[in-house]
Amino acid sequence: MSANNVKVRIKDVVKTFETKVNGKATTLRALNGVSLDIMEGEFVAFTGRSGCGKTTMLRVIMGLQQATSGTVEVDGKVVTKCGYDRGMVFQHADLLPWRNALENIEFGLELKGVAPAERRATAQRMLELVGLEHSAHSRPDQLSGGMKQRVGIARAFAIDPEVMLMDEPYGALDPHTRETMQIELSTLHQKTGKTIVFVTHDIEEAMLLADRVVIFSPKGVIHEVVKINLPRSAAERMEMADSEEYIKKRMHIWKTLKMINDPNCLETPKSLEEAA
Amino acid sequence: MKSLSKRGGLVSLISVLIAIALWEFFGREVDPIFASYPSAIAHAAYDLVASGELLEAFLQSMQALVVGYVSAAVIGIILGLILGRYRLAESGLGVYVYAADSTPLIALIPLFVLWLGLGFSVKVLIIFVLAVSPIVMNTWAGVKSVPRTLLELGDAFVASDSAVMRKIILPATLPYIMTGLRLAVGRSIIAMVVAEFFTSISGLGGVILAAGEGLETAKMFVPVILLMVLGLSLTHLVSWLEHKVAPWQKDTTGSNH
Repeated sequence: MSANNVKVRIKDVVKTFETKVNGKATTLRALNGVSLDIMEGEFVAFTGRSGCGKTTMLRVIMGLQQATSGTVEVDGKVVTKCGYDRGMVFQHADLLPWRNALENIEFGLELKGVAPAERRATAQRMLELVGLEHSAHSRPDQLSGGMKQRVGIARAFAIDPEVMLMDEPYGALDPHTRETMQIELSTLHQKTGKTIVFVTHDIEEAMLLADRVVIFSPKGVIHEVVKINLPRSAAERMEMADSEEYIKKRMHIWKTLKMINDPNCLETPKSLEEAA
Repeated sequence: MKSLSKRGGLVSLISVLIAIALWEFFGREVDPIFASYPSAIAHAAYDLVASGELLEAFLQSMQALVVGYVSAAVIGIILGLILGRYRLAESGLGVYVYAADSTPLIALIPLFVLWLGLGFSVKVLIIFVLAVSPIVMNTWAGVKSVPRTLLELGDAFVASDSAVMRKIILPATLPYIMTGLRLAVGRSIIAMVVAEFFTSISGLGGVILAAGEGLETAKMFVPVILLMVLGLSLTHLVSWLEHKVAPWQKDTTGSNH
């Protein structure tokens, strides 16, 4: 990891939506001036309660939605639409039901214009990478939730993006599968060195995976960025769940989320630096 | 499950045999001008087949049916895809498709005859007009029901407009298209007979009409039964295709179970 290389630069991003509330046109501010630098090879988790804008921020980075004002740069280039330098893993995998696992992984490669033979070989390699080589010809309706999401991850990795954007990919999985997938993702991250932005509402998940945890407040701004000083491997972190660093950071994130989401709370929670 | 469905088939078979037996028994009591009975129909069928009359009429009907149905399928699918995909087309043309679907277009047959006379082409037009609307309506609804998340998948992987159509919308809409095609089978057979009644010179409809006017009731039943068998077989064929092309859609298109 070359620590000084900014991979994604988010500058003053504001995103508003026009909606109707009780028949009256209203402007909803999902993002209210978000700025953040994400380093090359870094694993960043976005966390916060529902409606805090974390998923919107991810979609703006992807180019699925346009910022109302402000910019996102990837490798110094301003994002205006989707591109192959970014890969997206969706919340519910969103596989094409008529394609088998291998063909689903090939989907992005086809669109990218990769030749058939190379496409097949890459898809096969990705399938092995996520441990599904025996399910190559199974259709999504024959795969479990965890397997579907593995295919979704393989599909995103297949186009070899610089930045992986993952939108609560494990939210719908049972705890056991989720744990396995977290360890796999952590290994995959270290193996490939990709920059990963991972949206989650699960503090434990953020603690296991992230180099930095970004806490979004309900106002659509970043409340605090918490650095996790633990080994990068999720498997190792699981073993260290009783270490001081783990307990302290976990507690801090939990308390912060609780306070910023409590409408009756007048006191702004202190960041870790202020507290020290 | 298997033995249960086998037993269901046996019950159906027995039911049909009993119905035929009752028909044979009571049918003989009725004046043969007003009704007929199975053995008389079988006899008439033998005569019609032996003279080649039935085969000729069948082929005449099938020609019109195939041309009308296939053109309805091609144009219906294309129109449905366009209506579902492009909002401008939907606002501009959708209203006519709705209107046509709600109008009993059979009422326009005299006009079609005026335009095209009594030949082959008017039969094809009538079949086309009646078969096209369930295909358009179902394809259109199918495109509208493609999950937004799948379209977004296309965006995320930078798919071109035509790639979105070919790789996402068309396969996702296939089960709906097949439903439209299945519904169109029944309608095009009705259209074919009605067309032949109006033009009254050819096809199975022509045989029915001629036999009816000649008071040969048993003979009249032969093409009717043939049409029933034709309708059932074609509908089953399309149903089978429906499951073949969209095996992932087990629950939503279970019409032939």
